[in-house]
Amino acid sequence: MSTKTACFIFFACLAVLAACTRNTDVRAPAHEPKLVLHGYVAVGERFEVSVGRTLAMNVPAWDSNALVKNAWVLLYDNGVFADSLRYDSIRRRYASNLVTAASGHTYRVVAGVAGMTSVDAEATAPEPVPAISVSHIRNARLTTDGAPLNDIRFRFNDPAGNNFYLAAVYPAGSHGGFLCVYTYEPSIEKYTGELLAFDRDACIDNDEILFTDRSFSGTTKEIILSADAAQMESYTDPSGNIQRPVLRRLNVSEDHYRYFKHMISLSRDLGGPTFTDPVPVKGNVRNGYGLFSVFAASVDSLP
Amino acid sequence: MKYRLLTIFFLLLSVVAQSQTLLKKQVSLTGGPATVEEWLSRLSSASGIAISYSSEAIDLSLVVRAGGHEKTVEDYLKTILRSQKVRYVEQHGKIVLVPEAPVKKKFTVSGYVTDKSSGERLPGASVYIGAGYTGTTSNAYGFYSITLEAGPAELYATYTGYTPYASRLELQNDLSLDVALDRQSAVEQQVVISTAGSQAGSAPSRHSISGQLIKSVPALMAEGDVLKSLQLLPGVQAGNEGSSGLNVRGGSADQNLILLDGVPVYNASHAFGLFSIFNPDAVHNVEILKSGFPASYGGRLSSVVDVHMKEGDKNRFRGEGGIGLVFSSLTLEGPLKKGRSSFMLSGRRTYADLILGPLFKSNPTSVKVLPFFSDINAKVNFPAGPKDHIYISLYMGKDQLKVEESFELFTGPAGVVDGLNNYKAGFSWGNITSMARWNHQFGKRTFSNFTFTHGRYRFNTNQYETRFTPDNKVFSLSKQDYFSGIQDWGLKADLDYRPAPDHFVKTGFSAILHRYQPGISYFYRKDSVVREDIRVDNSTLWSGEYDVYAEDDIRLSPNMKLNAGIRASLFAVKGKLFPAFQPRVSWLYRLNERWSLKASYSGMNQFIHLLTNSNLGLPTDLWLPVTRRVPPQTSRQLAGGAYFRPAGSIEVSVEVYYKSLRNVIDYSEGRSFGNAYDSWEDLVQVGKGKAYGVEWMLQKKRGKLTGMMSYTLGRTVRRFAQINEGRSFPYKYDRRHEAKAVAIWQPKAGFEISGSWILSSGIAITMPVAYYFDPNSSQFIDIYEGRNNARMPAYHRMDVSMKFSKKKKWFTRTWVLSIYNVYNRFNPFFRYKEYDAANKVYYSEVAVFPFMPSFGYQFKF
Repeated sequence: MSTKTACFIFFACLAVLAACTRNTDVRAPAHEPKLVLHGYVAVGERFEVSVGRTLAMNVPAWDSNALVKNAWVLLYDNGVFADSLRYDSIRRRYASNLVTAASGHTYRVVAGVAGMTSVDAEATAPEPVPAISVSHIRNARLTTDGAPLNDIRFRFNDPAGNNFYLAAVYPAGSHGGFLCVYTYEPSIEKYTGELLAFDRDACIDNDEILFTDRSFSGTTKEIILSADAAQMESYTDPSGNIQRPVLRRLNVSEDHYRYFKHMISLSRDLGGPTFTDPVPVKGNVRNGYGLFSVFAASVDSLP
Repeated sequence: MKYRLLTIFFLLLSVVAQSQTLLKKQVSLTGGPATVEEWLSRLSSASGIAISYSSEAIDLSLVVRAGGHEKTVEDYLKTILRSQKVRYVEQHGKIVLVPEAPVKKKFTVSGYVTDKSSGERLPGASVYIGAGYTGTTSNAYGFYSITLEAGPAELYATYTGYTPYASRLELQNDLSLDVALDRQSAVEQQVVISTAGSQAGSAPSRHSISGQLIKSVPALMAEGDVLKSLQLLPGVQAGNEGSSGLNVRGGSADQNLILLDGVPVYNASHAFGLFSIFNPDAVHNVEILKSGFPASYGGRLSSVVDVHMKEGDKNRFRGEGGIGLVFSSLTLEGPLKKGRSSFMLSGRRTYADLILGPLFKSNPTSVKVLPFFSDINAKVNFPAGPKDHIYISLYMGKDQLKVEESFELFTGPAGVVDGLNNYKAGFSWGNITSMARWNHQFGKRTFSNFTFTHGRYRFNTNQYETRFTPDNKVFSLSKQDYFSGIQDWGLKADLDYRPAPDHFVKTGFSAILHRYQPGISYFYRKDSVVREDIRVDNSTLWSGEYDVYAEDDIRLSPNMKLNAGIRASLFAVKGKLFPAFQPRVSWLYRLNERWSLKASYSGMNQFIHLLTNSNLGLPTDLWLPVTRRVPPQTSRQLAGGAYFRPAGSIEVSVEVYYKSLRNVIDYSEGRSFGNAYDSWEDLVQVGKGKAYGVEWMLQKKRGKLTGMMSYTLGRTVRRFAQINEGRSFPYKYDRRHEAKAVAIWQPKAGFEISGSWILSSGIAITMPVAYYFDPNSSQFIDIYEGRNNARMPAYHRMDVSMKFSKKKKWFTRTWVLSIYNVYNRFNPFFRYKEYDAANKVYYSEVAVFPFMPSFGYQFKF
């Protein structure tokens, strides 16, 4: 049981006794609209970015309000113009037919819309970091409330320098399903205040596993993750294909890592005594918001 | 003009020259031994200077002889009058022989100021001579000392709530005089707040409240609370509603030095901040200093809250207690040896767990939530000789929140239970403080105090799970523990020397050894074999804090007092030394009987930091020592005020302050997500801040209606290089306006009605200004352009309380009826963001303390 849980129990008792809730109109502070640029490109894939605009708090939150179709987008490869990206109305993104991301190259995207300040962002494509070994151990441990967990162990050679990783574990046959991941691994980022590693409150979202090589830079590292056993079983789909759980690891830039970390830290609760202050999500887009990143991905099916 | 000045100069010169000529005039006398009268006559004749004297003042018959070396009139006078106490002055062309005033001997009156009925010593009582311009105050142990010239003197002693004492003395030698003050009758004794007014010491911003006041002001759940009573003073704010945290003049909650009988307390709250740990029944009085800190205090930046527990009645056995909706309390006190020594024992306990426990038992498979807290105060004091007194006190408090759950396992196809799972989880935390103090009097003017203190705060959380087979055999066990804490051992010596009335010198040293345990985790799991047995131990840290101080409190003129001091500190941790010099000055000037002015300057240092998620005093709060990266916090505060007493029981004051803060800490942006390799230094940012404001206060101190009204206009900001893009931003508890009113009306004995009202600006919060869509995560992401860029709605609330007391045969009983938030103001505790059906953002606000009536029963015997 974490402090948050205890506080929740305590304040829930108070709330049962007395709490009241009301809706309120809050006038947001003034804001000048800016362009938003997003591009997440894997090494070996074609470039694709989305362009949007910021919305005032009183504008309904539909993506159609937020995305921009009439922008111009230019792509530079190692400082040399490479392509002008065209809008794909189905994918609602601006795509290049010519340029594929390659490790070691530095890419820059510049985007603009009439009447708004143009934005630009730069990213360098890293080298992939493949796993040396991956293993899947069933019923290796229990959560504090007795649910069995499978262990996923993977080893890899961490390259020299500072490296930033974003990992995800997906249940068999699903790349979008939710799964709780637990770990003792000290290099993996967790919400602070969760004191007990296998408590339900210590659950890490399966696609929010972030770690850096600060403690093992340039060495061989083994990481152990534990996930709900029931969701980690392989099965054969109606087409006869065996569906296995998947471990996906991205070698990302520091900007990408920090952006994700801030996004996870976003809070919708404001002003309360135990809430942390909201985090301004800082990307790498000059004069605007968003993130442009080129990353290297490694995907392993779990045995 | 030039000539006129020259003329004046030469006139003055001639007067001076002429004045020297009489005594310096050359003269020659002859003759053998003769009486003084004959010698004076001869000298007058020979010099031509008239010598005037009274035969009453000089022994004229004494025979003296000239030495032969005399040359001037003065030489002869010296020889003739050598054995007589006579001085000679030149006056209007003649020499006048004047008897020297006899030097009066000085004697010291010293002793203790005590409560006549209980024998308890009264700290801070005024003891003065005559019209009140010469005097002193009793120290923290009731000791006073005044040194006066021999002869008659009128000695007065006053203490709020007590009948003034007057005594006529004939001082012919040192005198020991214990002053016993009579407590005023119930109606007369309604003194609300003794504040830093014209009669108090030279420090501004000093308030003292009694245990009785704490029980008189309206309180949540009709349970009087020490720290919440302090929140009614100007410049002292609660962080959040219902919390017993204190934010003093823009400072944060960790910047308050909270002392329980001189021992620092690290977590002063029960029940996640809802109640403070101090039992009002056991409290004698509480003092809070917001500025003008004497050099004897140190270690925190913004305030000193000095809680003095009762000593215990030395003359008769007494008790008091109460039964409330949340907890019950009982306090017993009495003599160990009548008139000489006493004890006090006090305890409180909640009973939610006792009530809920049996209810849960009826359904063994349900979830049981069992909250609980208790505390005990014990104190004894006894003389150890004519000049020695020993005090020993102990506080033990514990909070606990337990959750227990039992459920069936593995229900088979036929509905057969294959096993049972028992799950227990809980929190517990608490303080233990103990103190042993030896008072010793060196002579009549010097009082010493040697104290050994021990304080411990510990937080523990654990989970314990066992699985049983249907025949009750354990087949699986898992356990996880975490604990953190801080422990102090302190040694302190204070010397209080009073060389003259209105002058005392205080000096002393202290050494504190801190032991920090930032977090120890233990994991254990076993079924047929031990699967895990892991201990993660953030290494224990030790530090030493050493202080020496000296202060001089002196009346410079009948209307002016000054307290000047210096505190030198040295903090040693991990082989690093952090020295600090902290100058302190307080000044008082009485313009007349009604008006006085005060000013102070305080340099303060704080060597430990608090890592906290809130202002609630959560048990997970961690105290950690300074490091090279996170150096000591410092503050420099200037404060001044004017105090006016238009009528006897009314006092009006206005105070201004400016406080600069350095090396304050705040969490880094996004730090709620971190890994185990992040040290706490990585999680925080070091920055600076400032706070300034004006506080107005009106008090009515005596009569059937007593009370206080105040208004504070203040501002406090923080600035960190890595937060808010380096721009300064309002501190979360920056409240621009704050108005408070407290009134207690006691029309007759046995009935009392009180009310309080607070109005303040809303706390600062960070609100999004816009948002955007991230197609990768399909999330709408809020844009925050400034920390604390918006405000919660203004806060206001009125509480009332009524007390009905009746004297029964053996005891006095009191019913307390209390209403919190009388007009049901919706004061939001927090707000959260939601989307309506059209996907438009709106906010919901949650308030947790609406109109809340409550009652309690108290008794006293």
